[in-house]
Amino acid sequence: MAVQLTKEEEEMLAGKHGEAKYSSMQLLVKAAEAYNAERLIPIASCHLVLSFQKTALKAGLETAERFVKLGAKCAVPTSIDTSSMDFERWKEFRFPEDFMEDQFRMKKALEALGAIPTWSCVPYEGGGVVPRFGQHIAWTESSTAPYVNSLIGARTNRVGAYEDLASAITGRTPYYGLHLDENRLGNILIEVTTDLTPGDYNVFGSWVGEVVENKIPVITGIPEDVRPLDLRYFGASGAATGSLALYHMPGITAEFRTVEEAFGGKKIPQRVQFGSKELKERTGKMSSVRGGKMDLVVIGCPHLEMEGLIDLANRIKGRKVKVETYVLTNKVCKDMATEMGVAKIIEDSGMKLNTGCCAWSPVELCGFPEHFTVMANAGKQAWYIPSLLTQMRPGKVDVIYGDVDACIEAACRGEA
Amino acid sequence: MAKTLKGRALGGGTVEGEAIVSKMMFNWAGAFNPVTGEIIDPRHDCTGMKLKDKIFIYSYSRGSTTNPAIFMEGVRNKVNPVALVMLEMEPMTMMGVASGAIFYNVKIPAVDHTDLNPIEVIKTGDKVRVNGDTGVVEVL
Repeated sequence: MAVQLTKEEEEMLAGKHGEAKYSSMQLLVKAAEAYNAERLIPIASCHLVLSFQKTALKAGLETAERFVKLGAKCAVPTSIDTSSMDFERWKEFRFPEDFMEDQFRMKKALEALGAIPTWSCVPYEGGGVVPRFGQHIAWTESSTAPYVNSLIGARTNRVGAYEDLASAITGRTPYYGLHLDENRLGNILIEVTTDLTPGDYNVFGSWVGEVVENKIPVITGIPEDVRPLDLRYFGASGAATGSLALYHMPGITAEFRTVEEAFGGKKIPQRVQFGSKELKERTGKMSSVRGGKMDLVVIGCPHLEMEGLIDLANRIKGRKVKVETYVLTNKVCKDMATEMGVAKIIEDSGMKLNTGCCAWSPVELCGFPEHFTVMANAGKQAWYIPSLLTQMRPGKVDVIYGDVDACIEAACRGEA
Repeated sequence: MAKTLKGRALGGGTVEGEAIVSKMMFNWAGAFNPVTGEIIDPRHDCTGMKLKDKIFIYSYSRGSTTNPAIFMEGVRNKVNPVALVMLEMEPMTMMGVASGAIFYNVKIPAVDHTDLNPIEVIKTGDKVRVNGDTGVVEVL
């Protein structure tokens, strides 16, 4: 099926708007063909994951720099996902120099393209764009998609590396998947029959990701006062274990008011329950070791924003950690936390704010022993650290999952 | 005996090479070393094999958004497979293939949805010709 293009898009594809738009449009048309999209649509904003040097590598860097040389600029407001290191404290965190140079080059390139330097997986909490309900956008990175699709009701697919850059440069995305009304309806009902603590949203998310695979869950039994913070952990965990990009919690999320609406008035095709038994079983699967000593604790995946930082400061105040502990956040929140004294409380405990960085890269890059143990408060890291990471480096990395309080207790005691 | 499979043509021209056949799903991010071209996932049935200059025949990928980036780095380092035959191509791998063609001028023929199951019909070590423009895969 040929992809239908507007006059302006045809011109881009014919090279009339410069080489950067030409290459980008070629890529988007290929993408549209692969997705069986009949056309492209204009987007209101974009979020780039090519920023993450750990996976962008030399090819990503060369492509971004090539676009800069061609004089390319982002056509729509475009935020930047996490860096693979803290741009100020990289030396203190033992990031290798050659890696540091490439990450700085990537920073320079993306900022020259006119992208907003949010360096965060919660760009909407760090100076980036906040999409509005119903807006078509092209946002990448697994944890942003479920949040902006579900909580805000904007429309994005999980956009991949390179396609993200092509979308930013052209202001277009293939019109398929979650951009279409009919693909946003729920097709599996999940009834939560147990109370969830804030930390349990990681466990629940990890379970949901595996159960739904690529379906769209409609979820009941979530209390109305659930914090966005907890839903961020939920979405990120589900996107890691499955491909969760959209969920509906009628009364909480944006799109549908009732369960019936969320299924488009159709019969509910599949129904599963998440009760105390499932919670207990899944909690048991979150860690690769039962406990013991750990070498690193990471808190904040997705990045902690102000609510999360203030909450952490209240819990850690006056205590001291015995284990290296990174608190991951973005630059805007760090600046505000510093002004409020919240950053000082956290750092006085011995925890370190690791700004703009992802939880994944330090585990691999920062000179930890071949076999070591990380404790994390995030379902996403609990999933990725023992699977993805251990393939990319020699040795073995074990993970202990615990909620924020469990991480604090373990970090202060020196073992879990 | 010569065998011919016909599937969906995903472009990229024609190439001949030796097959590596896997029964498992494959995620470029995490399972492929883009510097050496080696399959590094210890749980994978082709672990230790090098995809450079080979025709990689496998089921599907899971679709991590970083898959195109890892695939592209393999292209940049010239350790990429020269063709892909899959049960079903998934968008992230397709983006890696398309980016390689656009940004590094490396064409990688790809075919999916073949009439005969390529994972059963083709064996690792077989000489294979893949035409990404017609969707024809021949075991030579």
